Amino acid sequence: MSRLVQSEPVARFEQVGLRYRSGPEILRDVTLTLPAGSFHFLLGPCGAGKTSLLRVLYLALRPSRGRFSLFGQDVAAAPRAELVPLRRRIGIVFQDFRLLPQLSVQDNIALPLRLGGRDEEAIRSDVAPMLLRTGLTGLAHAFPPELSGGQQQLAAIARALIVRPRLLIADEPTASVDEPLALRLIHLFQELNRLGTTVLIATHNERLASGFNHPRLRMEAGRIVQEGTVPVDSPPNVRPPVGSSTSVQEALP
Amino acid sequence: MKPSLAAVLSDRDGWFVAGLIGVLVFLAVIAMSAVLLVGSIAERWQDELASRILIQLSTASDDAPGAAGADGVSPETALQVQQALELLRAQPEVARAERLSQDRLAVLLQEWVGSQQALQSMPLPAVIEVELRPDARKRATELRERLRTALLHARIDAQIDVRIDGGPATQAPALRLMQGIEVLAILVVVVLAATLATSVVFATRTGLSRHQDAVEILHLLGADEAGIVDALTFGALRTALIGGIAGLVIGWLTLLAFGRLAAGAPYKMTSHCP
Ligand SMILES: Nc1ncnc2c1ncn2[C@@H]1O[C@H](COP(=O)(O)OP(=O)(O)OP(=O)(O)O)[C@@H](O)[C@H]1O
Ligand SMILES: [Mg+2]
Repeated sequence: MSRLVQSEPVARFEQVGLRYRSGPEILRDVTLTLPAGSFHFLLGPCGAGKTSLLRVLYLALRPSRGRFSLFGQDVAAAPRAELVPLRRRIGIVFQDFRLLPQLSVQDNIALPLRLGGRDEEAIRSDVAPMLLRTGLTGLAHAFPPELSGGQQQLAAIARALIVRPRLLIADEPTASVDEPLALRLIHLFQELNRLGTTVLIATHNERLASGFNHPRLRMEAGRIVQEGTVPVDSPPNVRPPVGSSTSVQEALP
Repeated sequence: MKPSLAAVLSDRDGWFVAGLIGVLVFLAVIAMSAVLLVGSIAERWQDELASRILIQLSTASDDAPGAAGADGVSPETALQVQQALELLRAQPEVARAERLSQDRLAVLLQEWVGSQQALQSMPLPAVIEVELRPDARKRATELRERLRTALLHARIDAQIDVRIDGGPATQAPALRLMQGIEVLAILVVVVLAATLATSVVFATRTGLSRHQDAVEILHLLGADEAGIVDALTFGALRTALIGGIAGLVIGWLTLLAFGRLAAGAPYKMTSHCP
């Protein structure tokens, strides 16, 4: 199957700096390109700035300096109204889930579709399979505070995937689930990626990331210190072989 | 409107606002009906007062003991009354001019004097009641002056003490009280309306800040400004509406109950027994 060459990257950071109010610079000279259809892990210790980088990426924060473009559009200075159509192409899994407690699980999942103006008929026919997919069908009418951490995480992921985003940004999407489920979720993201979605997953879990054949970005103290699949300072055999996804399949319940 | 979108920005505090609005609307209904009631009573009074002018005639001879004839006044005064009546009846604004009978006069005066005994010891003046045509009622005050001049010109002057009663301003302290109540009730309604508007605005604003987190999430999930405003105002509007309707219904029921009390109509028990 021949793939169209997409010259336009989905996102491009150039010398991006970010500070929260008048605090210290949290992101420093971040230069990074996410090609269309790519799948990256973003690794790094606590407080390294992973979430901050993702916040810039999903348009919650504007960089304090540098250039940042998304879907080919320079967003550093774009008016708010112009960000709306860009946001509708992004699926976000927040580190703290950010489900709306007043809405049932199914309404939370349907929310991005409703905000996008989809009709109820279409929403129903999209939400049901997504509930099935994430194993939340039985909890469709439950409210987030009644769910376990893992179930909330699943609902948050379902809400991000429901729009079939062109860019999926997931912040620690497997932090609250057990290992087998984490693997299953990464597979779900891979499936989406095969359909053309660009994926960026921030995680602490080195072991999980190393089980997949995807490039790993590493952050430390606000900088991208390492880019690419092959760790610079370690022998290539540390990385699992390309066919490692079969071993991942074995780990599934 | 998408129901779940409104639910995002509604919460239990909304019911406090709804209750507040309900109470305000209830009070406004009561105050408003007071305005209407007092207003209509005052208008009726004013209309009646303005439609009647009372002219009191008396001569010095009335005060002399035994001067009064069968009709309670001296012959001199009786003659003046006759002349005055002719003159008054010739005026285009006057529908009817009649001398009040002493009995009716006694009843009228009793309201102001208070006791029957005090009245009996007093000499009663001759009083002409002038009823004005409806279209002349608004000009009662001006007409009063005209009548006074006309009576003077007819030489029903000199010793005759002509006093013309009538006109809302001079006649009725009770009416002034009523008008005061009316103004007060209107003020209450205005204050209530202002409070209502303020509390809705306040509720929306606190809603916005309380839901800051939800609003941010909505933004990040692709909501446009219109969608957020929709969700906010729809939520606020819905609670406001529910509170308002409750207040309206309770106010209306209260008025209904008062109406029954005022009419003295007890609730009838229908008996099915033969
Ligand atoms: N809203 C904020 N205001 C001020 N400082 C912040 C804010 N959010 C994050 N920071 C600071 O920015 C730095 C990076 O935080 P960030 O959340 O991006 O790290 P992270 O890599 O996602 O960490 P973790 O792995 O624990 O999620 C931290 O030192 C943190 O204190
Ligand atoms: Mg983080």
